Amino acid sequence: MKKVMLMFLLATLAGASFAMDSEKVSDPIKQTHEKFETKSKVSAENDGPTDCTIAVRGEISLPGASFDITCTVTRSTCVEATRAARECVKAMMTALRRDAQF
Amino acid sequence: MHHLNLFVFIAILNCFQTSAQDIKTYIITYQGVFNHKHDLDKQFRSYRSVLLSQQKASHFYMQPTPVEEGANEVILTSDSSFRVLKQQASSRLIFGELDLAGRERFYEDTLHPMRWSLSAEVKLIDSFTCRKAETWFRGRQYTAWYTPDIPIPNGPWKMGGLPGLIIELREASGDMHFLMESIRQENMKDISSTPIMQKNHPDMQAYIIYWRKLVARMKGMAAAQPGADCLTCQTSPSIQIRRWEKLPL
Repeated sequence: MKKVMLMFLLATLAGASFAMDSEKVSDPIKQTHEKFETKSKVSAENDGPTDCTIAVRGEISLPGASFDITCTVTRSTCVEATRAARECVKAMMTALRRDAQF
Repeated sequence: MHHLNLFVFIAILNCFQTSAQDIKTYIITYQGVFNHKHDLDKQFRSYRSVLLSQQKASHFYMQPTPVEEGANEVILTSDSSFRVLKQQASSRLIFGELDLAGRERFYEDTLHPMRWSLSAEVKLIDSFTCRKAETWFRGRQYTAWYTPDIPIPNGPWKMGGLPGLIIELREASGDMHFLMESIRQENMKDISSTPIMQKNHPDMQAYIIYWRKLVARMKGMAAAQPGADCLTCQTSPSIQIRRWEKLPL
């Protein structure tokens, strides 16, 4: 079994600033804006003559906590696996941000 | 009658002036570094940290120094974080935390619950004679160097309760480090009267429950990821969470 490991950084998934609606604080402190840092790391592994496994990693970093999201996807081609893994991470991150407001 | 009106006007004006009066504030700045990767890796960022200390209350916050973005990185940095407000008389501590939606939520914690182990060791930092104190707090070991020369029982972040101002604070792994840079005095608005201090916030129990729910939702989300429609296709998502304060989640 031929094993190929490719490590490279993909383009950043997402980053957006949100308007804050928290309470006002006295001078000189400004209102806080969120900080998200997201990046993806991809590793590809050929499991057989046709299958390709891709792992994409996303990260959300807040001052007091950080979240690592990894999606490992197997598809018949590496292109398809990469696309599916990226979509998986993106969907998870979007859901996390939306869900954090409960 | 005219004189009486004038007297009432002056009295009302005086009331407003008194309520808006600035009070004596020590502005203490620290140079801080913090490892954003927590226990996974090392990625330090520098912060200018400020402790505004008044007789009855204090306000601490950290402002990140600008960071260069990598080619495939977007860093949207908050202009303040690790915000902690303390009210000595009522043993109140309020801290702010950004949630995943980018909103700062406030919670009530206990004021200086850490048990310090005081040492006879002495170190000179700049012109201050500092004494050593150590503590375990929420899963991490901290060493503080405080000076009895400045009788402010406070320090950076949630730390304090020592017989003097904390000049240097270091977490055992070096992932959090503060060193006092300057101290000066100014008159500022009463911290106790800020909107955050005036409100009641959820307590630590509610904070832990919020985090437990968040972790449960994340795990549920990972389990609910749809699979693909071919025999060999697989999708396995996983989520790992690391927190600075280690709480029973």
